[in-house]
Amino acid sequence: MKKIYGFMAAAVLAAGLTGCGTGDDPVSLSNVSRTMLNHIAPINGVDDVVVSKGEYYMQFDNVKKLVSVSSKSIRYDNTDHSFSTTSMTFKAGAYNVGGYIGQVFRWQSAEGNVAATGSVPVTGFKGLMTDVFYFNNMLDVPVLGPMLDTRLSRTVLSYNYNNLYKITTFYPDMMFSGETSTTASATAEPFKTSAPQYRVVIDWEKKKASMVIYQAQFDPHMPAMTALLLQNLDVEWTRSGYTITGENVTAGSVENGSVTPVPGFPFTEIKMTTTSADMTEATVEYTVAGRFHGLFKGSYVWIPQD
Amino acid sequence: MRIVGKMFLTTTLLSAFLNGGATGFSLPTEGVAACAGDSGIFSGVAKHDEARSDSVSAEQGRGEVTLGELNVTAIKQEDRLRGEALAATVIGRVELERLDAVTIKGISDVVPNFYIPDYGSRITSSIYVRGIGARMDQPAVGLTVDNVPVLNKDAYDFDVADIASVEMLRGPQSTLYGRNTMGGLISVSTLSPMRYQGWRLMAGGGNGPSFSASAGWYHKFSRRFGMAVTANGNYGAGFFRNLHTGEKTDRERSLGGRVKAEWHPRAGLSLQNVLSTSVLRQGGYPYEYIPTGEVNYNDTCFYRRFTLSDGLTLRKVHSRFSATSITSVQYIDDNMTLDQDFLPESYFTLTQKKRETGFTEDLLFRSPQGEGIYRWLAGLFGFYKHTSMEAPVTFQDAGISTLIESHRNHGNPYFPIHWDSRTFPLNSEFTLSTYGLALYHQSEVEVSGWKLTAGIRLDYERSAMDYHSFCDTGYTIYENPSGDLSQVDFSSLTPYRNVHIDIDDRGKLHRDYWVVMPKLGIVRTWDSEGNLNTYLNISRGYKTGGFNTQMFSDVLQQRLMNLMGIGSKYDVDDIVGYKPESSWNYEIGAHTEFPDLSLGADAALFYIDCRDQQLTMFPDGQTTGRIMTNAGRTRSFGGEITLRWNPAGGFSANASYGYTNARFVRFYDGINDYAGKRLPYAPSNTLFLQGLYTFEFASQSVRSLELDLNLRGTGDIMWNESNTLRQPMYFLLGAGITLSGKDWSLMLWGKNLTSTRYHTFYFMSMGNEFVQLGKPLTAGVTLRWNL
Repeated sequence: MKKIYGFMAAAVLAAGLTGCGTGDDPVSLSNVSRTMLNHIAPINGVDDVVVSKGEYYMQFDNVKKLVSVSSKSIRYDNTDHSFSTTSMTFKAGAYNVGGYIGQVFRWQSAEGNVAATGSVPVTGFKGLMTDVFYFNNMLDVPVLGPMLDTRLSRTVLSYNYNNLYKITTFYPDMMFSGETSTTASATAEPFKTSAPQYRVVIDWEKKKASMVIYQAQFDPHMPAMTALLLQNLDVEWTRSGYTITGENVTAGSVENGSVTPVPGFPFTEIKMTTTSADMTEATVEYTVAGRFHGLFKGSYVWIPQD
Repeated sequence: MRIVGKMFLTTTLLSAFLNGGATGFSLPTEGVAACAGDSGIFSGVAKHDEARSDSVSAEQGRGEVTLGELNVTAIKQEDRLRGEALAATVIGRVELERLDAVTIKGISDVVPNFYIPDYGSRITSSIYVRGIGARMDQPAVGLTVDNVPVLNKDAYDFDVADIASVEMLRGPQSTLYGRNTMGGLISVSTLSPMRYQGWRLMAGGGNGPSFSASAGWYHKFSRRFGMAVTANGNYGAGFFRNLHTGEKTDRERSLGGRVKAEWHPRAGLSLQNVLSTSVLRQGGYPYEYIPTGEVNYNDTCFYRRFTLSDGLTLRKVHSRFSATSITSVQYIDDNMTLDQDFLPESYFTLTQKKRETGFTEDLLFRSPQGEGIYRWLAGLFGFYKHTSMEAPVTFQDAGISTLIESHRNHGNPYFPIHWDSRTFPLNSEFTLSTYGLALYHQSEVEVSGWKLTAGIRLDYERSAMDYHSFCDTGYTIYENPSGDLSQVDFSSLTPYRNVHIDIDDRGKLHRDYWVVMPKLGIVRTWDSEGNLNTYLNISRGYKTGGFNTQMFSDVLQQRLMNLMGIGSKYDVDDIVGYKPESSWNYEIGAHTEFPDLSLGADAALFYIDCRDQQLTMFPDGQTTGRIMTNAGRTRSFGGEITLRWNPAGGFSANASYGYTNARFVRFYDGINDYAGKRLPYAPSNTLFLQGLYTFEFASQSVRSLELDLNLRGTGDIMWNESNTLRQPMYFLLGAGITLSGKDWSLMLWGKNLTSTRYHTFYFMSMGNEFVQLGKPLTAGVTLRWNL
């Protein structure tokens, strides 16, 4: 049974600061800062995509259900750029997913420029802050270590900046969960399972990545492997996201804090591709041992459909 | 339970079967009186003992069951169970002796739809009533012994000397008796020193060989104070031989003792204290491997147990109400050690050692019994149970290579592993604390032959577990360039790395529940003497949730495999924790007596809807790693009939038959869907037929000769959820010849006289199938002597 782990956002958002307001109107403001990676894609479609680290500040007005966002570290061309927005209306809800209750905040800007006075134009702003994301720190994976910041909610922002760039945030360490379909041959019935999860750790500066496939199982009669580690994969930034590829990769089985090669299951080829505009969804295609063809579709955060 | 030290008397039989009990067999009054040297002891007490004036049935003189005001069912219900909206069977002392019922398992055959298979050891008391049963952890049927509610079903099966009667109430009794009485309640009462005085001695022996003996001293120091001290012992050499050791595997020896004191300091006030203890040493587990038909395993199997309990019942009767307090403390210390694979190879062994202390308090107030149109009852119940348990599973050579190494090496043959030692333990220690509180109430209105009873119970329970799992072992990974495991010789391979496994997990889990248990009963009495009544009963039953510690071996195995790079993720709470199970019982029935025909009959039809059934299943898509779950829903319907016929001339006959159709409505275990399949382990039919003939003599030395011929039928029984294996219905013929004098009796008895071969249990372990045979022909002699 796939587990979704999450923590209440109460510590972050519900227990907000109560500011001093005028009159008798209640005031509840929460200030949140988050550091993510920025995927900065030039709108002209010609210049290279740039990825850099960026820090965002968000102020939530929990009474009026408004949020404003700013940043001073939109880094490209070796320069830090900044912006700030006016208030946008957010929608919040608590969701019970697999027995875990998490809060999800979503907002989207109205048509037009939502930049605050003095800021460069910002349009098409979409924001998501969610407690319901996937992670696994039950296993000690050598080299990679545990997933960090798992006590903090995940934030996904996407917007058009200064009419020049489409910026989307993502994380250097993400766990994707969804469904894996594996076929042993062209005519065989696919083996479908939602148990496997895919952790991706991206060294964005070196453009290299590692992937851990938890509960890897290519055949219903094969025992699931707790964690398969694939290292030294290549990262490419694309206009819409990124790809992670590898060829003839010998996976390692994580055993009690160390890695044992599994030559019996070589990954002839593996390719991960982001598939959604906000880069939360991705596919992973691979061929193992020359006979198992796997296709995974999933996401690293859970997004409600309402 | 061994019934020892009782007199068997002719007149008791006649009165018992002429007058009948609830739906079975009554306690003979004149016989007990004669035995005690005091004619009409029961009737005398009934009519003249002021301490019992408000509680004894006016039908005492007819041989109705009189269990005394200090019996819990008499306290909570009417004296006359046959006037209640329920199906109940009472088996008196004489019938218990006649059947030479060794344990409660033997008594169950007599009660319709009530089945306790005899397998494994005395730790196993899987009781099935109308298809409702418990194969793991919590019991579905409650047991009280001299008012002490036995909290742990591991202590259900024990010998008790001088039983006065056993009552079996079928259907949910949860409203009045609370947790774990979803299938019913068994109430055992021992002989009272206020009703019998003197010595009761018993000695017996049978094939096997087996020997038993008991001695009871009953003394009334005054009209108001009496004490009884009893002791009993039992030795059985067993019937099934373990081929590997050449010894009988099911041998046992036990000792038990009891001190029972009753005091009536003044009118309306009575106290009863029962202190009892038992010690048991048993081999047990004569499991036969199906492919070979042999009981053949190499590692030690045994069960040893020590129990100690004390129950204090205080009752104060006022003019307008009575107040009763039942307090108990109980302790059990046992050790179950098994060759878990039950094969001559060394796979793995299991030990489960526990010490458990429990306290219960039941405070009850009620209006005078049998008086007025409206009667009420209200009570408060609380309990606390604390358990410390150690349950190591020791993997041995064959287990390591087959269950661990080959599993792991199949996934990575180029880097196979070999364990550093050929045996290692997976240790588990637990501390479980459970407590609960309940409030209950029942109102009853009786007018013009109609009786309406409504009751409700609000129950809260909290269960907490601290666990500690630890294991210190290791293995070495080797390089095997060929990837060929068929001829691998580890001494020739290059070590790649040594892996040290050091598991030291601690955790706390807890669960709590609120449960409401209502009941409704309607009784219509059609005649003034109460010879015919019909009833309707709707009630809710409840089996508590908690933690199944026996699943912890699954937790540790998953943990170990996870560390080794194979296996699924797990969650401890998911694997071992489970919620309560509940049921709704709908029943109609009738209790009838036809004095002119010397015939009594009781019948019932029932339908049971059981929700959130506690089962084990595999997580989605997995083929290993069971978890506890409340995934099931079952339904059960059927009927029961009991007949008693006592025509003149020394002949009498008894018969009981029960039919149950119990099936899964919903049960998907993660791999298979069993909806529509019959529930395993619960028989669809139970049958008991008995004919008795008594010759009376004028001689003073030998007064009577009784002949008893009986037949028990059980089955068919499904052994698995898929219903692909079953035990067809089987019949066991029994007989007895009893010669009796004034103070003595000599009984020759035989069971399974045709040596019917049948199985009492089936299970699978590591994909291997095992069964346990039922006991073969057994016969013996029992001498009883009262001084």
